[in-house]
Amino acid sequence: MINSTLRALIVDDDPTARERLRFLLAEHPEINVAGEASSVATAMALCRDLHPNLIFLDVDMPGGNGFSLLEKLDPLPSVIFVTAYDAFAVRAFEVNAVDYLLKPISPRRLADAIQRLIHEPPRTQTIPYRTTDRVFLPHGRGYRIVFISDICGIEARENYTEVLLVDGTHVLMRRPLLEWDQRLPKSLFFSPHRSLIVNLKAVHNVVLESRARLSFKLQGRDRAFVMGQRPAARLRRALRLASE
Amino acid sequence: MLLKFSLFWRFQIVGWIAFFFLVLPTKWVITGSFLEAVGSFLLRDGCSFLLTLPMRHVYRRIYRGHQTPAWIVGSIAVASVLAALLQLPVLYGLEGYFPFEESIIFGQLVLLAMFYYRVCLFACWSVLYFGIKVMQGKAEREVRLAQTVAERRGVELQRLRALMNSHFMFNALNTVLSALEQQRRGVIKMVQSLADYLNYSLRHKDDDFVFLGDEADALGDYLVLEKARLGTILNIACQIDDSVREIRVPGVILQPLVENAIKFGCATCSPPVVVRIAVRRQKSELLIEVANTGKWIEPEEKRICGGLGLANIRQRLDWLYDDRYYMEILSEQNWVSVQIRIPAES
Repeated sequence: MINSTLRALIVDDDPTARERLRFLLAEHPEINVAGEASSVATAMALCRDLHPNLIFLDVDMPGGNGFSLLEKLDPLPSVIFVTAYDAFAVRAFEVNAVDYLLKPISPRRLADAIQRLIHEPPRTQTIPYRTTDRVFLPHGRGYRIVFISDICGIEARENYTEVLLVDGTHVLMRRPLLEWDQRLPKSLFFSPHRSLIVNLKAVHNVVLESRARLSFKLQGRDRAFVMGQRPAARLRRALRLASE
Repeated sequence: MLLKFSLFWRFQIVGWIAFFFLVLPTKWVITGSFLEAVGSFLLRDGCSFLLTLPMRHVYRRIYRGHQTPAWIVGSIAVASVLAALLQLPVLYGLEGYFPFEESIIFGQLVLLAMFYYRVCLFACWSVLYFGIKVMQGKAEREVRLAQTVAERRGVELQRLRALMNSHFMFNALNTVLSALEQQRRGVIKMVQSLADYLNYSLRHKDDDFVFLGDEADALGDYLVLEKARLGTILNIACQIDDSVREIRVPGVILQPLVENAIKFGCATCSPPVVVRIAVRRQKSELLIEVANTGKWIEPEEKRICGGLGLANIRQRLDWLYDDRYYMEILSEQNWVSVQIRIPAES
């Protein structure tokens, strides 16, 4: 990406904001604004035609907000989010370590964001999640955006983790289970053993098959999870605490 | 294990077990045998125990939580005497039938004493019953009060958020900056409107109600900036009668309605979006109608949308007017309109 111009797309329903961003980007010869879109639908069409490698994306657009574009594009270009202060959106950006600009965009911050985009590797973020947070899960060449509370369990698969979602689907991603365990809220998630984390609210059909064997199911899945005596005891204790 | 039972049964079980240990020594002395004492308890006090169940049933039906102490004392007296009368045949009938009862001599006086004793027992039970009920009611009222306070705070917060519409402010600043950069005209008016809007917001931040005239002026300031931002995309037709300016309305109600209309109009219809605002008096009511071209979109899952403008307004109206208001969303062909009717009070 270095030393070449970036083809950028501006996505915002506000014509003045588009115009202003274009004006500010005129200072940056490394960015070539290839197109503008006023809705998620137009943005998708433009992405197909122009293959931009950078999108300035306003998140507060009615009828399909900016986040939904993130899920629909494959491959996903680099994204710099833009918002006029919206606490929910800002929290999502922080938690997921994505770059964002607040309106009115300051020329200095815009320059910083472009510099970071060109010269720095993507940041990793370790702030703990809250149950209301949205998390961007890499999925294919794009993202899936899910609420933390919609994760019903996470299983370790060697170097990967499989994130099980309440709708029955799952996302396989390269992130160790330990990191999940450190970031997920303890009030909702529990790790009975080293290769599994469960959402306590999603655990059901708990059957104590014998003194040394317990099975349970997770919401959205038919498969039963089975565990031995000690993890079973730990899980039962966590479930009891969670239900009190 | 005891926790599985309701509060009533917890007290009932623990109370009667405690009572058993209380009277056991006396009964033991009278009957002279431990087994006989236990048997006597089970028969006589078991019968009393069973009689407390219909008593509870009756108390539950008649007690509504607001009766006077005298009323409660009266019903306790009546119920206790009745229950003791019902138990009399048991007390009397047992005479002579059971070997361990022989040692007690039943005279009329003894029977009277036993009757009196049962009345007292039932009365004590009832006092405990009502005591616990009253305390429980008090605790529930406190919880409800706390809920109401929390609800009130939520409504308050929503109003303040609508008032300090930071989203709008930053968008407006963006528009002003853009206009300056492009050396467009009308910047002075834009900055003046923004200042007036901010002023209005700060002035009324503690008021539940404001004059509709002030509300309409603030809406005008808001629209100056939205027009500048959206340009030819937006077409506004605003009709607010001068005669309604003295009517009091909930603070910040017009602007969120219009904001909603602009937002969803832009999303669901090809430009230009037309927004029609009409406020007028209809007999003793004030009619507020905001309509926009476009289609009605069902609010997605709340958490995805973030703020739900209309739901917030409804909650505030609920809080301020109870059921003395009317709010309806109409969707026909290419128009969506929100109609609100509130009492026209000045």
